[in-house]
Amino acid sequence: MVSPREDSISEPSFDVLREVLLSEERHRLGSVEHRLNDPEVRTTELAEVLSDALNLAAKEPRFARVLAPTIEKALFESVRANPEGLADALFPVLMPTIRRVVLSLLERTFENFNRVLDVSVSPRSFAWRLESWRTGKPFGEIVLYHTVQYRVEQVLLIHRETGLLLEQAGVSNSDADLVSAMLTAIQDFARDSFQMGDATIRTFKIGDLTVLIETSPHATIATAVRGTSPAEYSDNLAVALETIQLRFSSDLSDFQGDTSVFEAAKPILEGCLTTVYMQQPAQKSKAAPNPVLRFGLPALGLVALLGAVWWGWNAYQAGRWQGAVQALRLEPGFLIIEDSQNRLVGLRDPLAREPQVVLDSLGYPDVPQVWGEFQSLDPQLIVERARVALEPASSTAVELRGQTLVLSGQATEAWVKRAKLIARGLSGVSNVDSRALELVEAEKK
Amino acid sequence: MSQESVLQFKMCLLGGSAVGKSSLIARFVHSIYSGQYHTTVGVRIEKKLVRTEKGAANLMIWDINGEDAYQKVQTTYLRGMAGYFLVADGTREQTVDECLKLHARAVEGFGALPAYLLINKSDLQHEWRVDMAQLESLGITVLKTSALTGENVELAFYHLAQQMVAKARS
Repeated sequence: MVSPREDSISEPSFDVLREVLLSEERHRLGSVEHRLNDPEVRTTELAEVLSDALNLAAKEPRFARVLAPTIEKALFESVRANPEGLADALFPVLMPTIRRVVLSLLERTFENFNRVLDVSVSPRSFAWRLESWRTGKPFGEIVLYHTVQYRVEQVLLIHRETGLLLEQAGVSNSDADLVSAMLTAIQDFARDSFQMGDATIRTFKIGDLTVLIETSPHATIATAVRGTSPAEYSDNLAVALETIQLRFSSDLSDFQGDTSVFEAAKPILEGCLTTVYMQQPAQKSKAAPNPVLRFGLPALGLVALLGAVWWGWNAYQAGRWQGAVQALRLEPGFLIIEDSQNRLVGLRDPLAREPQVVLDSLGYPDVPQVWGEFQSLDPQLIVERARVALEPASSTAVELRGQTLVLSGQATEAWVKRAKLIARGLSGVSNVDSRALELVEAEKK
Repeated sequence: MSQESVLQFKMCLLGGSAVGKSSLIARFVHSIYSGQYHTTVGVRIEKKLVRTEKGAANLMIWDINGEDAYQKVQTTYLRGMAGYFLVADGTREQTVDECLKLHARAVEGFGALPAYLLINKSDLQHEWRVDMAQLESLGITVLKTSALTGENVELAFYHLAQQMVAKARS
């Protein structure tokens, strides 16, 4: 029922009253309503603050990971619509990248080749085969033990609440789902037994196998590591799990038994598989060589070099000496009796050349010499001795044929007679042939 | 035909000591009766792939230790299960009571899930101390099973798997 008082205020007057009292507020309210309802205005306003908002959000480490799937989709769509655009944009970085990848691949191939060579034919490999034979362990296991610092053999992604295996990477294991369930049961058991609240087992060891476990609100990553992994590896696991938790957040929280969606997480799990080799012993010795090898070998080399030089010099000198002695042996009028390097002992015809003249002509320095005299029967010296004894005139020639002294040219009869008498007394001469001589008068001479 | 998608499920077997939970699993998983009583300490896990009309299910079967005066089922073991069996011994009436208590705890902790009450040792039915007609009124599907003869064992797992698949796909 309407009261008489309310009835007495007409609608137009009420509007006027509202206009008087609330005109400013109504105007502002209308403006806000317009901003909220008009998509164009909203878009313009959002565009004004978008850059600043993105800048602010980019400081959050999660921002990139949250944005990544959207950017991936956008890129995929862009490439599908226009492949050339992206190809042109990527071209400047594509070639250097390809070169780097090829180089890295080659380096890895050579590294593997070296390792295979080292493992198959090196002395170490024989020692390892011996160890394998002695311990009864497979050769491969021995090689791994000696060469690998640590190797991540298996990675399991487990749904935390159900203990069900979502995805795995590494060594294939058909019972990985049972392992996942048992790991979860052990976690539950340990937590309840020790009343640790939400704490979890982070690591446990079985023989030389270590199981590292990282847990997020909805997922668990368990890795089987052979050897000793560094602390940084656990950090990498945590990052991988964080990435999975973010990317598959809703799939994990609403998990209903369908694991197919987690196939997309396999590359992340594969990223956790790694093998780190020990530093090669060859490299170690290169870095810090044995002092005996470091100094002993060069010294030994120097001694050998000096020895070779000394031996070479001696051989050269001995060769030169032998050459000099040989030259003296061939020289008419010399008879070598002793030819040690320090001195020469022998006989020398007084008509022969001076021995030092012979040695000087060979470039050989002066050496102590002892010479006795003798008469040489060398034809050259017999002729020389005959000339000294007969004193022929310049027109008279003297030569030796066999043991016959042949006289030719011109001579006086008196000189021929005297020459024949003297010549027969000369060593090495048995006859004198003067038929080629032309006798001339003594007066003419 | 498209590739078969297999759903993964965690399921549990709950019940008092010596009711035959482990023997039922052994019968189902290995299809041979173990022949001896097996007390589990804590939990043992087996797996089995079951193909149903609704789709295939890979069951991770958690065999949880018996509930008695000395051992108490750890509720954390039940977390994340998609269905469960309550196993009672037909020759011991109190094992049915234990099952009902466990059922109440499971419903309280994890809501209504596919579940069956299995009255085991049907091969010893002449010694039974339970009234099946009374059990029907408890609001849970009851099945008579025997780990020794294999009666209803496959069927029970099949039906539970089918219900879990149907629930997951709904």
